[in-house]
Amino acid sequence: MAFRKKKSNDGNVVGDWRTTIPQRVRAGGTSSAKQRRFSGWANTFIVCATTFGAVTLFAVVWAQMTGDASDDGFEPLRVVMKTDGILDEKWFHEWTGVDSGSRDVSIVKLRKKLESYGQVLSAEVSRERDRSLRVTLRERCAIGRIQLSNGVVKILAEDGVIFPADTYIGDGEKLPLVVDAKIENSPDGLERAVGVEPLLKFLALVRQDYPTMLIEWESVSVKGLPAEIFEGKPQPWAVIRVYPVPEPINPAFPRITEIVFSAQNFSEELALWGSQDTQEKLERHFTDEDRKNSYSVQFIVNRKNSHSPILESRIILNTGTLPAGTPRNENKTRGRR
Amino acid sequence: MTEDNIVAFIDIGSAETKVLIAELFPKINIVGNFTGKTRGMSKGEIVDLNELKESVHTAIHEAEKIAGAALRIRRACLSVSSMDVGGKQVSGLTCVKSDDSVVSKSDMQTARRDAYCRECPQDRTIVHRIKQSFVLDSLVMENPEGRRGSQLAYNMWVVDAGKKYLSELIQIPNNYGMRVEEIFISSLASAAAVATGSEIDKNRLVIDIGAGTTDYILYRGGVVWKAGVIPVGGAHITNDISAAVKTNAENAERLKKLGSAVVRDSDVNGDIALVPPEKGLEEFTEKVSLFKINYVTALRVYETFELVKKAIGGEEEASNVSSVFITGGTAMLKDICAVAAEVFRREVSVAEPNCTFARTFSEPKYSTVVGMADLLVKRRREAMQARASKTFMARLSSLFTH
Repeated sequence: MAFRKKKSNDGNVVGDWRTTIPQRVRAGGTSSAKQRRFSGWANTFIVCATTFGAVTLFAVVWAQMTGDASDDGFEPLRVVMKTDGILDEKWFHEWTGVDSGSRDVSIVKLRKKLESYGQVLSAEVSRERDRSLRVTLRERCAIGRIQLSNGVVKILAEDGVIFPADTYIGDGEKLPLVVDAKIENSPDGLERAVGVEPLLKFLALVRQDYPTMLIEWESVSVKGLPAEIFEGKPQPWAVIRVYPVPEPINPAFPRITEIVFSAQNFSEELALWGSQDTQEKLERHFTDEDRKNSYSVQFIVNRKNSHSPILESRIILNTGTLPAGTPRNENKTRGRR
Repeated sequence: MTEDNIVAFIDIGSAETKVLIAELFPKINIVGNFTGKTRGMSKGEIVDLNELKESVHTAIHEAEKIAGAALRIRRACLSVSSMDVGGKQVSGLTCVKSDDSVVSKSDMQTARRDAYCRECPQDRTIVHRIKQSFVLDSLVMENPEGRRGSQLAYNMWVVDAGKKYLSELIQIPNNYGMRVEEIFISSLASAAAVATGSEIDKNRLVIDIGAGTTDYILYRGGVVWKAGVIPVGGAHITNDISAAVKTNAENAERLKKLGSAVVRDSDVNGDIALVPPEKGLEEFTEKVSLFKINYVTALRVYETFELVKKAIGGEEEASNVSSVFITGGTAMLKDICAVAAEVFRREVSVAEPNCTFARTFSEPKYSTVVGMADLLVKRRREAMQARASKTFMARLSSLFTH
């Protein structure tokens, strides 16, 4: 066997088996190869069938959950409503127009209608086997009142949604009035207070941990709370101003007309404020002349000892004109008990 | 376990087909193996392709079942051992081009390219190109860069095989849905499996005696010097015994395994039953002389080693061999080393695969299949290192060079 030289001088794999013998990879010809090919098909079929089955099952379950499959023409014999709040069946009938014996009730449309009411956070509507309509509602938690530009007072929920006060038959009157907040219509058709996230957290915390404190507040102003946030937190100088309810107790007693909380550290300040009896301090230490004045409370961090800064409250004499949102009856004073 | 990382190593012998399925990285892990009887092949030649396919596919299928990785094995490695496989030393020549006659990298590349451009005949294809050495004005050296001389040669051992034979062989894994990634000659794979890593490896002769063929490979100075195949193997011993004691091949194979030893001394006494005796009838079973079987075996083995000695270049080449290693299925014959030592006049030992990943495959008959796994991993590592070392600038400059 003689090796001869190839004329061109460029190949590294001249006459290599990889280039001279083409490979046609295709299982078949013998029983083992056929078995292998068949098991390959079988595996592919099993994977496809399993995927198809899973998708179909998911679609059926989804259709059942949404009730979209056979909505039209449903006539409920009765309506069973459950809620974790205060809405009742009367409201349900008024808002949705659905009652026992109503015709052509669409479950999807009904759910959408329910969720279009601001007080309703989520609604689940389902048909039962006994042809009853089961409605389960989750309601939003109210944390304050808010006055619109047309003078109508509505309720502010902890997620910023504003809903009518008509159906909020709870302690709506006792909730503080949020002033100076900007209101916008969100794409879901609900009204929302915007740029007040720290305030919502603040009021939610007060409602949960200091409920008695909440009813002593007449209004809360967000004028000192800019909408811009810095590194996920409110601006360091952002404040929430609270104006307590004036109470006619003793005209000679000093008055606290304003409490200023920091938008960043309000939880610590609330804890401090809740533990102090400032009114008693005012009555005890101040002279009679001092007691005739009005005061505001602010919180500062005492950093004399840099290793352990201490949060302290300061009672500051109000001079000049009173700030916006001051209680309407200036002759009245109140005491913290 | 990706498709690339799992490979089936297939050693199609004349008597047995050995299949090893292994994961290659991060370290070789044998996940399946099967040894089945080969049909359709005799003395290294394909006599019935369909029969051969059937038997090899069955072996692969069984190995796959053991591995539990069916359908993910898409790559295969084959060993070749046939009279259709040949080898020849090929040289690439160039003149040293610089004025001061100093060999540069460019001269080395030119010599190398010249060697690579040698084509084999139309009906044959190249299986391996194994680098041997550079020769600068008849002085053999590993790296001639910077040396002075006028003519530079690049020697390599080229293994080629018949196109028809190889395409038929490749067709077998192809028809099972596997692509052949690499083909190794049996002797090279066996030598890799039984390498000791010591100095004696540099000038050793490895003889892989299979059923139908005997593969040999001779190393000189650590590089492959010669490799080839002789169409004599264990099956010939079986045929000889069959003819000598006038029995069928099945009985002759049994006699070979039970009684044969490679000795020609006349003091070997005793008989052995010609056919498996029935219980209680041992006395009435026909017996044959053990000496006769041993003598026949020894003659054939002696002849085989003489053929190998002749193939590697006779007494002159044999005298340069540091040690002889015998492997393959027929290496299990008793006292085979004594005959080899008589022929080669060197230290002879039966070599078993000593790769750490194949401790359970330490019989000499697994040398080829284990060696293939070892060689493939080394080749892949070399390829990866070459790719990694080729920097962006080197690639850019190579664009302009070419």
